[in-house]
Amino acid sequence: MVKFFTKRILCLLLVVWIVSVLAFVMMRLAPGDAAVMALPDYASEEQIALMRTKLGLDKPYITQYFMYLGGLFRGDFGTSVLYERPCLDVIMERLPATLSVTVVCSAMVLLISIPLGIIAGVNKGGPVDFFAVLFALLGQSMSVVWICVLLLLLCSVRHNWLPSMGYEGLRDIRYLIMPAIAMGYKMCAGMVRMGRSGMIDVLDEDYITCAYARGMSPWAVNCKYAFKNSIIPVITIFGMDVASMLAGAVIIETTFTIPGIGSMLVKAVSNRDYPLTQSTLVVTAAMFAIVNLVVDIVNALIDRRMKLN
Amino acid sequence: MKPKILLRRMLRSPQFLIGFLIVTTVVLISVFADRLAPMDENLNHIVNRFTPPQGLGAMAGGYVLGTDELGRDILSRVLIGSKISLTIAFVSTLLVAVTGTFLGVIAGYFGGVVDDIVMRATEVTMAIPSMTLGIVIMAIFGPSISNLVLVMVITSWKSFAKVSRNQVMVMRNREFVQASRALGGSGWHIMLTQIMPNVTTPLLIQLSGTFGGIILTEAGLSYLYLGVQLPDPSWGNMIAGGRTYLAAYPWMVIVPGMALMITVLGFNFLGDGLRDILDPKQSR
Amino acid sequence: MKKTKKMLTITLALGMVLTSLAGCGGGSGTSQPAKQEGAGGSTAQAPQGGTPESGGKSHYVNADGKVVVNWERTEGMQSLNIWNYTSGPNYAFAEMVFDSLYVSDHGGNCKPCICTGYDLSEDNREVTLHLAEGVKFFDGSDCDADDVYTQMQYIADHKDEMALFATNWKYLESAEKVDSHTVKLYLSEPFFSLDISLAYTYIAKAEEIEQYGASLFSSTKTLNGTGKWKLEEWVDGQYLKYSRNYDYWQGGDFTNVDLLYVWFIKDPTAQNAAFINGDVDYIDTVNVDLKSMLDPVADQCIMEEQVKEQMYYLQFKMDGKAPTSDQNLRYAVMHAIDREAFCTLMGGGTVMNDFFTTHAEGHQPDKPVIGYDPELAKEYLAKSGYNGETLVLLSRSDIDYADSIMTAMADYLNQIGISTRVDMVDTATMNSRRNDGDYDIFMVNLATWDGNALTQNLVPRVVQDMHHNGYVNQELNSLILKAFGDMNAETRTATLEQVGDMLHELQGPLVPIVQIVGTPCIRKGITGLIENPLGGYIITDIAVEESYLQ
Repeated sequence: MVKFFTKRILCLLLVVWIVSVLAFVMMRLAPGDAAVMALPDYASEEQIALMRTKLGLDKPYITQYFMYLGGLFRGDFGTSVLYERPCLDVIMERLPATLSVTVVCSAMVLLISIPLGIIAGVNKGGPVDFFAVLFALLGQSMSVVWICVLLLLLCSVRHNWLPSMGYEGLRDIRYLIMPAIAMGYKMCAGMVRMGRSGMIDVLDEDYITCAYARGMSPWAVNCKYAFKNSIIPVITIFGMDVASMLAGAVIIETTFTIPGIGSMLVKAVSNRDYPLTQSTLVVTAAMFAIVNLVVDIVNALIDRRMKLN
Repeated sequence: MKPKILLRRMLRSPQFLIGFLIVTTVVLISVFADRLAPMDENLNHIVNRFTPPQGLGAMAGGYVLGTDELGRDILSRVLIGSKISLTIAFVSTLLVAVTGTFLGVIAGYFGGVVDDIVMRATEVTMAIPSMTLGIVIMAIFGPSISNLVLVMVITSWKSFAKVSRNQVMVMRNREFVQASRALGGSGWHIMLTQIMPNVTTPLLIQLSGTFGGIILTEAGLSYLYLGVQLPDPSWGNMIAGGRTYLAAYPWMVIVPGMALMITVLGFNFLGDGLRDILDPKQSR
Repeated sequence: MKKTKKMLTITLALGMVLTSLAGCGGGSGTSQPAKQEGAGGSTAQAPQGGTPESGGKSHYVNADGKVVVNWERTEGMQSLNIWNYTSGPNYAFAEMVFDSLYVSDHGGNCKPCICTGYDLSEDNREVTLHLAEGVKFFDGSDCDADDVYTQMQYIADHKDEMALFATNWKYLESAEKVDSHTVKLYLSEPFFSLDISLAYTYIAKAEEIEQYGASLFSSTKTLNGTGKWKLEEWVDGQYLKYSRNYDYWQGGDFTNVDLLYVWFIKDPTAQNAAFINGDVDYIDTVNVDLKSMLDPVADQCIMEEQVKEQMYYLQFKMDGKAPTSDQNLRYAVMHAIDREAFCTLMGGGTVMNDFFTTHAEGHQPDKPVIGYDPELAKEYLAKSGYNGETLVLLSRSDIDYADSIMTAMADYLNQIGISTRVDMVDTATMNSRRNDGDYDIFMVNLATWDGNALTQNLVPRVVQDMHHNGYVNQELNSLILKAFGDMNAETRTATLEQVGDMLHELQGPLVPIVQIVGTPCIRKGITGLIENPLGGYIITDIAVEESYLQ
């Protein structure tokens, strides 16, 4: 167990390190320059050169990278060019909103998709199955771009059920419902499909037949064997989707005026704010890796055949 | 499996038949889109902007499905767009499925270092959001359809890899695989004959989901102008472009949205039907 | 058993198709609240009436009895930097919380504020500023010559690192404190826009500048000066919360509003939704195509078109090699595009035939029209040396309507036989490609600050930037610089008119296409707004009519 965790934590650090390298390389390869963006677009060559020195961009790339890496170890994520504040401050200000939406969305997705997928799988061809399949198909063919606006028009403009904008943290969950639905619908749809088909597959397996033969009740069979085995792909998908919620929710954040990581990251990238982009990617990568570690542990606990190491 | 049995199963699966019908129609439409489109898809008629759908009665010279903010004929754009969108979706899905499954199966079967490398690679690609990757790739290599496919492949291969790897991990320790190994079967042989058929179910589902997902991802990227470049139409950039006008001129989004929905539906039916047909456990 | 199952699947499949169709149709239905529900539906359920007759509590008074107004801006603020003059949100923040030496209405009219007036030396290079008495910072401390001197000296030392207006304090060499109410500035060269420069110089505390220097704006979460409002809170990506400075040195009774929120909402549908729900009392720019959404609350709002001193312009690459270096091709392009149609796209606007916006110095309303005429365009094209090259049309993806205009333009050019490619790119790529000359024609927007095109448009973009374009026109540049150094308005205007004639004749390198119109939406009851010629309003004196407070 200790060995497993040591190994996984080392892997986690490895992933974060690779992401930091990739983020660094990608930003330097992209056309444009942080120094140019920090100045008006008619700045003279001398002004740009001065700004490059100020931001440390005149040094060789290797030096720049190791200075950045050294800073990370000391807990110094650098100063954002765009925001003119420490990167970590900017990220920490944006993180709560992103996390609250993610938490509400995950809860909603898990509470809906797992039961729905499983009941649909058990009662293949029944009315619940019909509803589940319909739900999943709609979810897989509707664009987030579109769901956001529809939700806004329906729940906020037409009926005034939910506030149209803003964010009050987890104190007032009403602000998070629409973003969570918009974010979670597609995810939920995929998981329902996965859960349903997993359940159908598992119920065909020999050991289920055996269990029935031993005289177990359908409930017990479903709960004890089928559920456990069909849920693995569902959780795997969930782990991956949680990752994409953390920094990919640009459209949702823009539509519902949520101060999250996604829109900030897009702004940072399009303005070539090197320190902020790198730091944000490192922070989100660390969170992804943790979520994935948890997913792997959960999967391992469910299925003993998938050994921990 | 004998072709005869396969054919019989196909004919008896309504899901498969409906899916097949929809997919064939959509593919045929996209192939002949140039001939079917009643107007030049990029021609502006700004005086006629936001014309509501006039229905089939307007077949001769009118706007059957209305016009967009530049007064372009939406029917023609959806038809031409189907060509671009389906091509992108086909190519990307194929590449994604092949690379993803290949790496996933290898990782799951061999385990150890191979598994570690592949899994770390999935985590790294997951850690970089598709929008960020899109902005950077388009900025570095310039906006084009092949770069768009590159973004799709990089962002989507991981789900195939993860799902197939986890399934293989489960299968690897199953009795029949162990038996085959005990009998001296080589790694590749076991992988192809014993394991692959048993991981196809989640993969088929993944496949049909990915197909629609790619078109939708393009809509998301088009939101930041990273999708198919203007003025060429694709379902994705039509959905993204029409989003602003949804409250006033909903047909701009609904028409490409419906086209997408029907296509995704068709592929999902086809996928589910195929799964039933190919299912080795199905009796008869 | 098998048969029923199969039947079920078929009905299921068909049902799904129909339901998804119906579901979609339902979706479209809900998206037209105005048309289906009429005026009753959504307003009846809105929590606040907004009108005094609505009976209940006033919309503008909160639970604590404070008067609150919720403003809206499309563009968010990134930093508190009051020296970043090129960022709209930053100066909007600065003018709320700080006082500047002069006060500008952004239309060229400046009046004294902290600085009550100035004297110029014979050669116009020494400026003696006289400062007002009794200026207080928000914490009660005095704002005097020390603060002004420290600030001016800091600018003189660091002007190359600041995102100053191109010309603001470019020629400031040093400052000197004479006595507690007099500061002297030394200029290397005289320039016409001294009043304007004074108006954009917001005075921060001397101790803070000395202590923090350039990191002044990164060291705190709120920043306050001598201004009419205090910044209470800034939530990045959401809002700025201001409270009234009751101890304002010129009197704290300039308004009856206690709290003012400025929300940043980017999405046009969300802006309208927030207004309909009563979450905001103002929309900076209503998307013209979504105006119908606001019909149910039409009785609560005032919408008036504003012609902004802002334009979209095309820049042609004129390095001698690019096809657009050919004057005939430029004429062909300008005749090929229907700019009236662009105005239709943007919901209003004026086609510009002159380089200068309507209220700018040097504007000539009667310039000959280069109108939409495809036949004439083809004639010019035939005369030009164009042989089928693909012209790259470049624009930035974050400019409103840029996508529509570029697409329409590509189509117009294709119609006369010019092949094109449209590139919509992010801000940094745009800047880099502009510098590298990786375009044939690009389009961006530009504002005429302070009623004069020299500071923001002509000097930086023609004189300083055009060499990236491979194009230097000595005659044009010397005319512009002559106007810039000219303190006499009359002769300056005459020179600017000459500049306008030259640019019109060339139809390049910069050609304005349309002047922008915006439609702000204000909830009834709000007064004290100062119209900003650049668009929107200056809200330092915002108030609510007494009748709307009951």
